[in-house]
Amino acid sequence: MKKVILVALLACFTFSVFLIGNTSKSGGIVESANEDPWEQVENLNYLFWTADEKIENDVKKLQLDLSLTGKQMEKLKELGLQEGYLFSEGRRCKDDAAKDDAVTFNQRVDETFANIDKEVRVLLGKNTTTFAWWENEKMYRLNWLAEKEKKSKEEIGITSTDDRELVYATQYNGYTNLEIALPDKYVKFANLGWWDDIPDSIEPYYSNPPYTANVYYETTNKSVLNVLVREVGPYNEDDNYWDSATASNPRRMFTDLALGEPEAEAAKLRGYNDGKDQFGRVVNQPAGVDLTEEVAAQLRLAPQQNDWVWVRYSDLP
Amino acid sequence: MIYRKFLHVILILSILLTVSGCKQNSSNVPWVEVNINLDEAKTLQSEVDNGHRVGEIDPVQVAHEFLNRKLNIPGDTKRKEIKAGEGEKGYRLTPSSDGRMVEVILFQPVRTDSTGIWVVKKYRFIEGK
Repeated sequence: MKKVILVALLACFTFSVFLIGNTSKSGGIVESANEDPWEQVENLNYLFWTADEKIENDVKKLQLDLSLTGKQMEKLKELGLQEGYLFSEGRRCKDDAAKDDAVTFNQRVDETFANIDKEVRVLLGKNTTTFAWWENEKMYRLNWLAEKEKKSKEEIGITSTDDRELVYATQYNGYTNLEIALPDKYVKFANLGWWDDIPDSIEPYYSNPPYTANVYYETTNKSVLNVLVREVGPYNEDDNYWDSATASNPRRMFTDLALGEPEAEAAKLRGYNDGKDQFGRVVNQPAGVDLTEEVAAQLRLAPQQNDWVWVRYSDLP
Repeated sequence: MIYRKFLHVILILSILLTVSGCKQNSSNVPWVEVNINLDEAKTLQSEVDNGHRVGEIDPVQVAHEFLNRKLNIPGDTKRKEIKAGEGEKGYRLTPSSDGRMVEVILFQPVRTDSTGIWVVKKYRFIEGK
């Protein structure tokens, strides 16, 4: 009998130790200074360079909660901008040819963000561990997107979501002033008449260029109409997310994603495809469209500023 | 009979001359080197690393863009891969708009892997101009 009690006690003790261990791992937002509240991804850029009202309030709350000075906030904003420009610091990797290129690339990105994190830690000091904004933002944004889509579907007439989607817009330097980039290389090829590089099986769907899209920014109630798709991206080149898997021109990759959900958005917000693009590179922005500075300016977005915009794809193959 | 033989010789000579002439035309045409600004290339690589300008990591698109934008030859182009040095890509491009043929050699100025951007290093017109 004693033996049974002893074994039972031992089992209870082991179980409790196991439970406590697990709780301390998952319960706290951030446990140690070594863990990264920013997740070593481009969240500073998203936080400080997205024009969204909720995110702007998050920035104000961050300043209040952590008692940061205006100067510290400026520095954080500057680091956010740096996040978008530091990747190319990596060395030439001819010697790493045997390694997977994307793995090497992602390691370099990690190194870059580790350096930025160091600066953030120095700037925030003890406060570094108390700020876990990104997890909340991801949850909020997914709900927000679902709500917006639902509301839009309920509206009558021209605002039907059948051919428009709310996607995160970033900015890029285009070939021309007024153009956009979408992650379907064959739209670009068709617009530039590069027929020889479009497979015969796909070419019939792309036979009616020029392909353009309308971009609408709800915050300012500004639109840019019939903008030429002149480049590929953001991130992917075979993610024609405005086509369903069963459409006449079916979505070529990531067919398990919902119609209208760009892969980069799913990767960034939901960790889809391990958070990587079709090339295996880490996705740092949930972007579905890239705008030139001129297009962004017409929508009243400042240079470098990103936000969620409606894109109407009715003209696309 | 002699006349026939003479005709044959002329024909063979013509073929030989044409073939050797073509060879000479393609291999002797000098390359035009393209000035590469490494700082600009690094900036572009940085943009690509952040998910923009995805076409820059595809040598085919870069070759077409070069033809379109730098040489002002727009539109459809037949493409054939040609021999190039280590770490380089080479294409012979035949635009459908005219009789010109252009050869381009590309390389990766910043990173030599599949995430590195390509730029045109040199080009030459091998037929007409």
